[in-house]
Amino acid sequence: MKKSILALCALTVAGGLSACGGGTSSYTIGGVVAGLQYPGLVLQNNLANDLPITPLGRDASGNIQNVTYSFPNEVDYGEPYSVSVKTNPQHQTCSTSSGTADTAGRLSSINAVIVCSLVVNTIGGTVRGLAADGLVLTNGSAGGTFTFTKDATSGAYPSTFTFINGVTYGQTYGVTVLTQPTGQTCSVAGGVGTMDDNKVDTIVVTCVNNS
Amino acid sequence: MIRSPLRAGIALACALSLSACGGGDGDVFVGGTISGYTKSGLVLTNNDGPRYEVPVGTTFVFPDLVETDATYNVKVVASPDNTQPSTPGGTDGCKVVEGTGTGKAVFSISSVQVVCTLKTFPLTVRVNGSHAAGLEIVNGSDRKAVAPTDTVVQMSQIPEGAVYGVAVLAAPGQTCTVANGSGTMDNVGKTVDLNCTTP
Repeated sequence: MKKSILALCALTVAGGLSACGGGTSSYTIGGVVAGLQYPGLVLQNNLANDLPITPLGRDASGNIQNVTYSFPNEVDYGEPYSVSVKTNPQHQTCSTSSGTADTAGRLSSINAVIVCSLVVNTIGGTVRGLAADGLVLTNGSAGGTFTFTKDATSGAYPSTFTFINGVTYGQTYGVTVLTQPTGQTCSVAGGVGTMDDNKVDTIVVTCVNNS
Repeated sequence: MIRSPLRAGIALACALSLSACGGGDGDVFVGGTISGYTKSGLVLTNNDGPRYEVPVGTTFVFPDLVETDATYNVKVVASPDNTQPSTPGGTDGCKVVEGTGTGKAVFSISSVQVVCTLKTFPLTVRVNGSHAAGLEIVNGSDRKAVAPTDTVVQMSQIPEGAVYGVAVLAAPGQTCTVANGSGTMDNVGKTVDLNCTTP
């Protein structure tokens, strides 16, 4: 019996946990943040203990470096921990990935992984004067197309549109008319830009009848 | 003893599958997924057997079934003419992704991956008229700067059948418009006109 406890202790120590044999054990809560490119990220443990995280930039191969973090306050054995995102960094959204919530001491090592990615926003706007089938807009070659179809019940054409494919922060978009509607010519205003932090819903497509 | 639950599983897989069981010799399907297959011409074989002309799509299943525990070995014997082989005239415009094309068919196989690499063609922008510094054009997320001395700008190449739409992102102190900036790529290349005036 004693032997097996000793063996368990040895195993525990080998596994990198705190000392066996009475007393309180406490655990450092930490892990890595992947994909972080911009400043402003604040993590919390148990909805307190604010911890700002600074991005490390890219390595020699151009990959975004993981940021290793740990909370200064340790957590006692058996107490719960839960790492969460209090404030997102600029231009990015971070979310908990794995190992972010458990009971301290249950796992041999704590690695609360947070993953960040650039924000992706939709592009769209309004269409005026559309009165025929056939209008197709495109956002370049990779941004998808939007086909305007008449509502089966009301017979009306849509007055607004939103591309299904979003545009990542910092990427350009350029909405053009790929196919004109029958007997009409449509032009696009405000269809070109570089994505920032908010969705674009200000593109205006104006259609007039061909004379 | 071990075989009977296996058989039951296979029967279930067959029952759930869209294709009919019972063609071919065995009772196990061999198939998988295809990416980049946009124009007919892909021909596959299994175990160097009959040529299977695959319908255009994102999945395939060989019409001939194989025996349980039989080996399978999927090969590409012909690729569509809109794909880019590794050497001119080659058949490997589409490839079976390594490691997933061979093995033992215990249950129906749907894990074979065929990846086709499409040929791309130039999208050329002809720059007409005088233009100044800061001019930038885009084809969606593909962004190119136009230097004052440029008369031609190459956008990133795109595959046959892909649509494009060239537009002006920035033209400080000048007026630039794109003529016929949208269309569908053919198997040669497309040219659009960027017409500029500088006051």
